[in-house]
Amino acid sequence: MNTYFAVLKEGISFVEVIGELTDSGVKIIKHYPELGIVKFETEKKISEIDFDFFLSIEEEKDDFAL
Amino acid sequence: MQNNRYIVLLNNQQEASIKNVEKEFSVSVTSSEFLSKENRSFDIIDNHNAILYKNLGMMVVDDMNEEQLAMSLTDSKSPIIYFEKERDFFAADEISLIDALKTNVDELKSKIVELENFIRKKPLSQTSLTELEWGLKAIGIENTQFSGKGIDVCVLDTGFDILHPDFIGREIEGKSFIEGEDWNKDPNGHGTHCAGIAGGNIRNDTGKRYGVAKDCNLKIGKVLSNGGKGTTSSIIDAIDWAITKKFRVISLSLASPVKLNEKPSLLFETVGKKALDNNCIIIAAAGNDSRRPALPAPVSAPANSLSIMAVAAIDNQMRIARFSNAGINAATGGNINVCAPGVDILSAYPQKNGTLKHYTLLSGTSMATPYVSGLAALYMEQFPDLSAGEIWELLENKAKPIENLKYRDIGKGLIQA
Repeated sequence: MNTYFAVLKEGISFVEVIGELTDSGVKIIKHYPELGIVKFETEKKISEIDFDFFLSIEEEKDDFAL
Repeated sequence: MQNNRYIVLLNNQQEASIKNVEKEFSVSVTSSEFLSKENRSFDIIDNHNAILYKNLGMMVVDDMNEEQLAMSLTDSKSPIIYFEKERDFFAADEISLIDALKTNVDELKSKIVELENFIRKKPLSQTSLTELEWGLKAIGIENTQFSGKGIDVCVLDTGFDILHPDFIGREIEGKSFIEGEDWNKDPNGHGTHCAGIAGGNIRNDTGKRYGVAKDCNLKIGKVLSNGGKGTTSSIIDAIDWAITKKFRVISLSLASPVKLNEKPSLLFETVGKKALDNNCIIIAAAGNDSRRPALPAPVSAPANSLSIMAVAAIDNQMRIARFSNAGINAATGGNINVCAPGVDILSAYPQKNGTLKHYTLLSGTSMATPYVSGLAALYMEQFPDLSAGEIWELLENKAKPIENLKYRDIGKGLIQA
């Protein structure tokens, strides 16, 4: 399972996109209303996901260090 | 006593030269040839300003402009080669000499009393009497009286040693974003060190000051594990917490290396913008992947995002730190904004292995970052009406370039209080 962070496009509300996200089989983990970001998990590769309401989708990184 | 008479030496007494002196200084010169019992020198001086002693090659002149006299010494056309004020001479007998000294002593005594009163009542200057760590001197901390009072500074790092003696009695809020690890313990030590630079005060052993904003409200988010590793999740969760809590400064002494020409993350670019929209500034370490003098590595994520301030490190010789990353991905984003002290930086540290030490020296852009965060808090206290974006501009605009160091390496320069 891969974790992704997606930035919602300006003017798009999270409520509008929940249905389409769920239908596509991704698991919504968290919505950050202050940041306009959605965190979700999916087993699909990022290239297979095509949501036009996201400005960007980035896979979680684990190499942040001192 | 005549205090404004001058003895003036001349290198020639030609009529043209004397006339030139008369014209220049608005004096009337009378020759000593005309002195007699009825025509005394003091009468001549009183009536005509000046008397010329031809045999001596000098004049005694009344009411001359001393500045003009001094200038005439360098004027090749002027016959004046030397001057001095007329002196008082005392009679050689001992009693007269003592009387003269008494008179002068009284005069001198009143001057001494006047000077003494001035010195005793002179107000103290506002310079700090506390010794400072080199980093604080470098950023000119003695130039400000602000302490970050009332400003919430959030340090996202490995946690914080809440038992550190320098912070006993401080109200510190925190939250852990690492499962199974507490925010208020810091076995790693990095977080305590960074928080100490941003919000510490003075050492409890030597009294030397090491922290920038001693009265700020420290907020701690544990986003790096005790092993010093973190994920996008822990960092985004913590930034969301900080923005929701309306903290004003977020200090990120962490980095993820990027490749040459790699574009900055849109995720962190968005997060940085949202923070600024919420009147909060995110300040992040440029990263320590360089091995100078080889070509430095590019600014790491998330500092390479335009909406997050990137901080480089310098040493106490004002040289760029050999490990400090640089703005070499300029085409795709990722410039250095400012630099701050980041080599051999002393700050608070948890006691380890039974030692009694509460402090240690560490180096890294991690150390430079909380200097900027602490200073941002001082500015926010000083200028409460400025937005986070305006505080950003102030940090950059007040920073000073360093001779021989490139914009690529230090951005606008060394931050200044």
